[in-house]
Amino acid sequence: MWTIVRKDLAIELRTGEMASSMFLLALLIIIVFAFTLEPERLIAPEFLAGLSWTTLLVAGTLALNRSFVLEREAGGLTALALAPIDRGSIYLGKAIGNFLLLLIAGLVLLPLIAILLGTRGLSPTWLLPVVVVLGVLGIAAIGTLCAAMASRTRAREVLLPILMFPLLAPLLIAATRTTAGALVGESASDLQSWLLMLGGFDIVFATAGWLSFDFLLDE
Amino acid sequence: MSESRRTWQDVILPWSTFVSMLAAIVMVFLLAPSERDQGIVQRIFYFHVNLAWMAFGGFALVAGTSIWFLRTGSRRADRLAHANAEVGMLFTTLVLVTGPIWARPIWGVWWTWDPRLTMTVVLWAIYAAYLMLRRLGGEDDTILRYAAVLGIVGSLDIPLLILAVRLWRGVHPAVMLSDDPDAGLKDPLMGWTLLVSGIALALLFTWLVSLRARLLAVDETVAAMHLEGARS
Amino acid sequence: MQSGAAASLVEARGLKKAFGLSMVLRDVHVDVFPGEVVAVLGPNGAGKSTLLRILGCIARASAGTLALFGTDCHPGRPGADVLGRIGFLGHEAMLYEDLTPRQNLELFARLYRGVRAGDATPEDLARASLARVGLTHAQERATRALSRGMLQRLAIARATQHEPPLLLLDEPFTALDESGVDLLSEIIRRRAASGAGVVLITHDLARLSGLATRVVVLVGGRVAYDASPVPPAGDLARDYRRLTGLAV
Repeated sequence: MWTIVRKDLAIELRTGEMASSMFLLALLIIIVFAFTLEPERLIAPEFLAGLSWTTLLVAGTLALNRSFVLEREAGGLTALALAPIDRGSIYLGKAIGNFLLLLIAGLVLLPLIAILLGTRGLSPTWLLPVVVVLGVLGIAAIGTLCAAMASRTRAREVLLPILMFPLLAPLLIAATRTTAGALVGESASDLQSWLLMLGGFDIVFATAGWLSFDFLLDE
Repeated sequence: MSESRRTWQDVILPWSTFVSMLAAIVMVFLLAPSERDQGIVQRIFYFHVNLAWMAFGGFALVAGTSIWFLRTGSRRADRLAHANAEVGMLFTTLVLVTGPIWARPIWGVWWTWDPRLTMTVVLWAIYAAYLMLRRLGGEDDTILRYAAVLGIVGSLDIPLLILAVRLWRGVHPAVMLSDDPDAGLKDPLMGWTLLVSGIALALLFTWLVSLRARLLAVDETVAAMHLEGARS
Repeated sequence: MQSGAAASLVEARGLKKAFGLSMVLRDVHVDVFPGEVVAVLGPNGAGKSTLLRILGCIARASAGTLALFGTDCHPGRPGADVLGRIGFLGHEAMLYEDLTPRQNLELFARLYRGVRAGDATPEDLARASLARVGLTHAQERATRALSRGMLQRLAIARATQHEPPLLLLDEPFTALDESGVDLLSEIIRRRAASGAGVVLITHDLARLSGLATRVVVLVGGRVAYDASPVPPAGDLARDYRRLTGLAV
């Protein structure tokens, strides 16, 4: 499993294409938001949270897509399927790689959005990075699974969001609420049920992906 | 196909659907008393609520047949999963259509983001995702397995969805709109109407699924014949 | 596992494979024993590549049974110990184009670490493999930039690095230059001599005669011909034409 993570990191280090294009796309989305929505009116934490997660989701879809396109390109995934490793760990390896990428993106984007769109009246707590981690974990778990499925079809770029977004609905709801709460200083006990839900979501879908990946690799 | 299954599909199912739907329509429009506050529009509720149950239950069926397919590779299981998804999608669309028809006169708006409606929209999207995967997946058999996995993962998602949406938005406004305990489903005849229309819609669902699954089977046979013909 | 006779590496019975609604393999029985080099011939679309992929556990048969190294692989699923003993070379290179050849081979060395004998480090193993296929000078280039011949050599290195007792090769001589062809033939001979089984899909009759110990012809998803030792090229070509109505 870690071998696969390292492999993806090695590829990313050599080409750097995923991280840079993802970052650029995210930045552009934020700018579009700034133009199309009145920035002064966006101060409300709910808006910031919503915009952040939307941006992260859209930019993340790009990275998720790429992660499997590269595999399918020269048959790398087939080679992994051949190898004497537990197929579930292929899933975990890819998911962790995607998670790290998205996490870095998220931790960079959130402050960036706050800066560009206004930070008045915000008192972020330590919960904020926790939420980002939990939320990104969920996106990576579901996203890796869906990307693996979509990458086999011809319409992969359009199919991935179609598959991912509905499944991520509960996660997005939970993540946005919790982020908004964390931005204004709500305590952990206030946000308890949401945090539990995020954690639950992550566990359920990471497990589902791990168990089902075997089925996805057969021809 | 066995004799008994043929009888079930060609005789029992369609006729019972017909009879029960007839009974339901009679009850809904003629026999059930008008609800005090909502008037005649309320009658749609009998269909709307049951459609919603079928829509959500339909996905459980998709998941169940998908598990069956992954375990045994039975193509019949796969066809049933596909058919269930299509009929489920149909029923979900109907829920989303009958909802606003009911809501507009009663609440004054076509749409709100209350929990049940939100859930139903996402359910619709999950059905759409499943059907899109099947459609865009091409001729490969592997896509069937992918679809099955999606069916199972989707059904895991739905309880979480319900939880999240409830937590987010509070509760669907009750059928009863006033505090008066005399309004609402007081009349037992209303309860019966609900039950009968529920049974009718369940039979309708089953019949449509069976028809669709048979059609898929015929599609496959024809395609196979084409291929054999082309080869010789 | 039988006692007495050498245990078979591959034992396939009644393999069927359907893609959608077309049957690609209809009823295939095949055995491969240690030391054999089995050449598989057949017209396009006869199912050769599909068969190889099923033997390599990349694809699952629709019906039938398959036992590799005496263990059930279909129905049922192959374990790591079975997978680790297979070396597969397909139409795709199965490599990561953004990594260097060295990185690629190290990756696979790591992935196969559990089943390899000996304790060479992945780095050492990769270096040795690169040397064996004559790619040491190109080891730091991006795999994407390699010529087809070099890519094929790298793929050969990947497939043979872990000294698999079962080698499955799908048209491996394509894209290779003369020295590459000699290299591969030598590798095959050496592996077979050390007890490995080799299944080789090829169109090259001349190559066969010197290399293969057995020839199987697949027509319309069935085994139509199975001869050991391999008849001389002229006879073989004639038999082939008779079976398929085509030239090899």
